[in-house]
Amino acid sequence: MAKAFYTVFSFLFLITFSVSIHYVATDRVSATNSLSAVAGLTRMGSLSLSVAYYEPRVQRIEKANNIIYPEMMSIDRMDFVYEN
Amino acid sequence: MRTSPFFHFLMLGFFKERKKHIGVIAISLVILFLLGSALFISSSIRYSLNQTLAWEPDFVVQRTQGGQKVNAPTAWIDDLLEVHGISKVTPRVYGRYFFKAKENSFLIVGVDFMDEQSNKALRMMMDETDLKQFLKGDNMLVGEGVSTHLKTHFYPNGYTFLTPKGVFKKVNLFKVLPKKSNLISNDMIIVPIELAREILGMGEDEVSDIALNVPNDDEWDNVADKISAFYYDIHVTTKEDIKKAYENLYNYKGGVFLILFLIVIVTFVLILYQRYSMVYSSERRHIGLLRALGWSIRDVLKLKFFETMMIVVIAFVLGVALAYLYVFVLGAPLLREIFLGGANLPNSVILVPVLDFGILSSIFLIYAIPFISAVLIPTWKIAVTDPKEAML
Amino acid sequence: MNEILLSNQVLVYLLSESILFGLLLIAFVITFGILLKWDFGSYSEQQFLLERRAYLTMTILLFVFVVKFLLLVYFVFAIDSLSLLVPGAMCAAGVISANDYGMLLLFLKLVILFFLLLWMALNSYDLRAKNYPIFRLKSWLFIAIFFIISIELGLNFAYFSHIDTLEPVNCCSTLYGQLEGANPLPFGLNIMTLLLLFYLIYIVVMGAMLSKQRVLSVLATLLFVMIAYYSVVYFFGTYIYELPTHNCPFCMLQVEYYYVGYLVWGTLFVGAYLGIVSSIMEIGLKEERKKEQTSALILLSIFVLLCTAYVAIYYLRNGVFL
Repeated sequence: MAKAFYTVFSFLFLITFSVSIHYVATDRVSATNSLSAVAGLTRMGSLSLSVAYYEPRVQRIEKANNIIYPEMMSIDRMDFVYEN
Repeated sequence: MRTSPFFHFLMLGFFKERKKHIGVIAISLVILFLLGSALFISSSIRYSLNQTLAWEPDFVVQRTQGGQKVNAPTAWIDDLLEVHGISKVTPRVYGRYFFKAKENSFLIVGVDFMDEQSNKALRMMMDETDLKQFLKGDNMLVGEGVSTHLKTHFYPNGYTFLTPKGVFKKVNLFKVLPKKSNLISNDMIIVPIELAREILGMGEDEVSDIALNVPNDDEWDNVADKISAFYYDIHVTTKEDIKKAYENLYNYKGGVFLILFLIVIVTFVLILYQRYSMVYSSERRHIGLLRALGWSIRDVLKLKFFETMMIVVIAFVLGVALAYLYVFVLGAPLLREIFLGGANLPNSVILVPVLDFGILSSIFLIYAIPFISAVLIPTWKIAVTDPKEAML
Repeated sequence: MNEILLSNQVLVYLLSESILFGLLLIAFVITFGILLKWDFGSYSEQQFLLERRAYLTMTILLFVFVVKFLLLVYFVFAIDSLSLLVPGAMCAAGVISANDYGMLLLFLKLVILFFLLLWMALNSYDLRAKNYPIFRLKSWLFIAIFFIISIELGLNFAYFSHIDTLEPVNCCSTLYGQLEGANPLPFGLNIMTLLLLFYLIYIVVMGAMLSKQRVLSVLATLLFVMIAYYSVVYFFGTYIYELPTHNCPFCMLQVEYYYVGYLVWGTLFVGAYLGIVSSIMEIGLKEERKKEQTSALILLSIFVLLCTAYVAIYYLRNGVFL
């Protein structure tokens, strides 16, 4: 049964190894560069949220809301509890 | 290969009785997978946003009216330029353009391509000949989501915008922004600044807001105070606010997720406790035999402890690897809509892999500690079995 | 709700601490019951039941000890990551001093780990002796530990729910820096005498341990921990940061310094704990504890070598001292 153990653990090791290979081999630079290019060009770095018409897409005014996540209700607001 | 008898016995028991463990491993996998995916997505988004932070302006100045943002006059730019220590004052023009009322919308962003930073960024995207051509006519750069949407609505080469004045304005689709920048550019349409004003129906002397840089970090608070005192209806957002918001974004979504997750964990613990109580009670005879053969209580505890640790390790590695595959290789279909929304254009982002000690240790702790705690008492109960049980 | 409480690390940390406390509560109730009725000489059914229950306490405490150790590392890591949320904080130093509970909490954690280690040592002796000679002693020790841990749990919640994310805190340079020429070192020492003491006491500790002067070695180790703390913060730390004005025990835990702080503080505290616990055991139980003594010596030596190496490497590279 020690054989089964070695099989299982070499399998786990293989998985860990392939994850680390993928992690190391990912091209972070080009992804960062294309993000930076857009952010630099438009001077806007806000997330491209796929929101309905009544929700703000770029919002930095309302303090109570999360600046980056306007579509997310903060739980210190009462609309989190009561339906509108 | 030589192995110690204890180890051999452990393996024998573990793999002979694997049916008992597979159920537990399966439940653990589901839990680890969900938790891991949510944490991976949010940390990856935060990482990418932090990378773009260097390119963002230090300050954004807006005009407010009754708590709502309204367009600021261009005259403000000249006032701001007079403050010492401020550089790169740039007007920003942006707004949403609805493809169909109450349905899909694009984010129109007007850019002054002659501006130094914008020009530099533009050169990162295209070469010289393209650039000349791009600047010649009414051209636009669009995000991937916009381009797909336009294509399916039979506008493959451009789009005719309807301005608020009722005039049609035809704009050529010059280039699609790379998929890699989808995180911020999916629904963007980048056009020259005058064209953006026309499409959004803004006057010549209006801008959406004003971005500016203050190269000396120590002066930020000073400058913020100074600018705020200029007008009564001015609102200043600093990069610090945004940074903090990024930090919270990660904690926030992840945090609410974790709170809900606590309920799941408690249920998990109860299930495990029940299950192990049952599994172990069927092992009474077996353990009684071992005790009769001279095993001490400590030996049995050791055996069960290693068994549990094996399950924890196997489930942890598999669960995290599955989450990794789902998020960073497959791009987290469905689950990413929690983080990016799904009400407008579909966004298929590439998430940059981010793994760090903080995330991995959090996943491990929140899984392993409840798991082992739940198993502890049933394990003890079985370990103190009387040797006479073997006779029954 | 408080932003701090929603942070992932804090949530995971508080959950883990609460679960551990739940287990300890079970162990506490059992131990209390055992202590009331314990009679090793008896052959009654009840006594056998109690002996079995003692195993549950043992298992729980072993588990708690391991996890508490991991959680201390995780705790430091968590407050380090909170420094981004708390205004003014550059590292864990600012966050931990955000309210009055922080430092006390960290101190209690170190105390608890020490007592847990002592308990483990007593327990292994007790089990080897077959007839549980010090069962009552270790049970009372556990009850004491339980009360300290209860206080710690309360402090955990009090600490994290009272961090204000709007109020700026001090950063480490104001907390530990030289304040208008006032000397932060104890007994009016200066850096030279501090260093002298550091190496001198280290030699005393070595000598006492090797020559089996138990009482001396406990006292010397205690003193060494204190002097080592000040030496690292005010002298060796500046070489780790390569900045003469940077005095902070926490910044070295960050990635910029390759997390070397975990190694520095880890070797110091684990080494000192092992040394003190084994010496106490030898004084009280007259039992040889060679293994712990040796590992304590090795760990403390690694600590001293590591600190010295930072200074030496800096000198070799730049040709001057800071």
